[in-house]
Amino acid sequence: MPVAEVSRQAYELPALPLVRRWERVLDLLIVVAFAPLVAAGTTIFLILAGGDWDFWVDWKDRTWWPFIASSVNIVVPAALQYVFWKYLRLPIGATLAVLAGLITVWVDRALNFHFWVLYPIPLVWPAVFGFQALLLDGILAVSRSLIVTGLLGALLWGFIFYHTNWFILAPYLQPADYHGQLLTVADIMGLEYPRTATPEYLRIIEKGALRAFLGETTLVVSFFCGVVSVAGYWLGHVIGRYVTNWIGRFMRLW
Amino acid sequence: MATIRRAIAIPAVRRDPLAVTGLGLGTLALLLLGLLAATVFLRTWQGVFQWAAWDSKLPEFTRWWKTLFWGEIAFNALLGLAWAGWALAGCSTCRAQQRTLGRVLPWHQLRHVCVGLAQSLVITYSAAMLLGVFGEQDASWHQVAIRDTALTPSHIPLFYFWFPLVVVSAVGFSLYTRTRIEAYHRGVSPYSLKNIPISLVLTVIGTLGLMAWVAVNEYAHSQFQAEELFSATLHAGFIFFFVVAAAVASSWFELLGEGWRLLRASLAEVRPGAEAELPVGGAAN
Repeated sequence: MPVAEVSRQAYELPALPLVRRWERVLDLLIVVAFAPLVAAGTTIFLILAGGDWDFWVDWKDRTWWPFIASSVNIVVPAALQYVFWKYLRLPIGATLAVLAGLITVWVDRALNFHFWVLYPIPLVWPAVFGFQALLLDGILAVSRSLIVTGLLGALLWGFIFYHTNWFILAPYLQPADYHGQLLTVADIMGLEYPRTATPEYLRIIEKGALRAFLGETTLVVSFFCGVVSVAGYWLGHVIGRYVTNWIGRFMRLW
Repeated sequence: MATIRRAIAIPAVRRDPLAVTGLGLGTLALLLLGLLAATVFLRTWQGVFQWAAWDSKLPEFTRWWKTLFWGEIAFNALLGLAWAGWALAGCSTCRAQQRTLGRVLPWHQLRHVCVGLAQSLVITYSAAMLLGVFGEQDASWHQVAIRDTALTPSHIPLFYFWFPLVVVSAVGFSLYTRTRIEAYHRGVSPYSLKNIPISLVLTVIGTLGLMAWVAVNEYAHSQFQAEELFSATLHAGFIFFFVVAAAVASSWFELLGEGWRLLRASLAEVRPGAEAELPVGGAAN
C-alpha cells in the first residue's frame, strides 16, 4: 500500500463536524501559545551561551565564533526535531525552531540595537541558520533515522555554518589601512563603536592563533565545528527525549 | 442567568454545544491584543524618554522612569490579585450546573480547558519578550551605558514588568485550571506524583527560581561585574526558564488529555455512538 494511503487512513479523523471544528480551535490555541515558547527557548540558548559572538561583526572570527554559534544553536532545534518526529512524524522541528529564533532576533536587532541605541545593522547582524536547519530536517525526512541525522546532519550543520554565513561576512573582512595599521573593516567598525567589557584582543580578528592549520584554516575549523555540533545535537536530543518522556509518563499519555 | 438557563436546557434542545465561539477564541484575541499593546507601549516609552535615562540623579529620571517603574509594579500586583481572585472565586455556571444537574456539563468544562490554553499564551509571550526581545535589548543598552543603579531603561520593563508577568500568569493559569477542571478538584488527579500535580511543582520551582536568579543577577552586577558582557557565567542561572517552560508544557499535556476526554464525553451525550469514531487515546496516534 502506498505510504500516502496508509497515512490518510491512519490519521484522517472521521467526518464529524464537531471534531473537525474542535481540532481547528485546538490547533490554533496550541500553535499561538507554543510559538513564543519556541522562540524564547531558541533565543535564550543563543544569547546566554553565544551572545556576544552573535551580536557583533568584529567577534565573528574563525577561532571562536563558528564552533560556539553552531554548537549552541543546534541544541534547541535538535530537541524540537525529536519531539516533532517522534510524536507527529513531521520533519520540521529544526526549521521551526530556527525560524522562530530568527524572527525574534531580527526584531530585537532592528528595534533595539539599531533604532534605540543606534548601532548600525552591519555591526549587529545575526548569523544565518536557515540553510543548516533545512539540511538537518531534509536529512531526517530522507533517512527517517534520528541517528543518521544526529551524525551526518549535525556534522553538516557545523561544517557549512561558516560557508553559509560567508556571503554576509565577506565584505567586512576586507583589509583596510587604519592609521597605518592593517585591520579589517569589521575591526574598524568595532573600534568606532566601543562597547562595555570588550577586551582589546577580541577586537582584532585572527591575530595568529590558527597558523598551525597550515593555510587550510577554514576547512579545519569547519570540520571541528561539525564535530562539536554533533555533541550539541545529542545534548538537544537528550533534552527532547527525556523531558517529553518523563512528563508524558507521569501524564500516563505514553 | 441566561447562560445558566441555556446550559440547563441544552440536553433537551440538542443545540450544538461545541460552537466555535464558545471555545476561548475571544479570550485568545483579547489577550494577544493586550500583550501587543503592552509591548508597543513599553518600547515607545523607551524610545521617547531615553534621553532622561542617562543619569538616575536627574529629576527627569524620577519623573519618567520611576513613574513607569511604580506603574509596572502596581499593574502586576493588581493583575495578580485580580487573576488569582477571579480564579479562586470559581465559575458560577459550574456551581449552577452542579446544583441543578448534579454535575458540570462536559462541553462547559471543555470551554474551561480552551480558555486555560488561551491563558497560557500570556506565559509564553511574556517569556519570549523577556528572553528574546527585551532580554537582548538589555544587552544593547548596557553595551552603551554602564549601569549606575539597577533601574535602567532596559531593566525597568524587563525585570519589573515581563518577569513579574511570567510569575503572575503562571500562578493565575495554575489556579484557573485547578479551580475549573474537574480532574483536579476531584482530588484524584491522574497527572500527579504522590497527589501533587507535576505541573504545579514545576510552576512553583521555575517561577521562584527565576525570580531568585534575577535578584542574584542584579546583586552580582552591582558587586562584581558592572558591565553587560552577555556570555558571562553570571547569566547562566537564567536557564531556570526551562523549568518554567517544562511547567507550561506539562500543563498543556494535562489539558490536552483532559480536553479529549471531555470531547468524547460531550459527543457521547449529544450524539450517542459518535464518540466511538474518535481514535483511541487522543489525536496523536
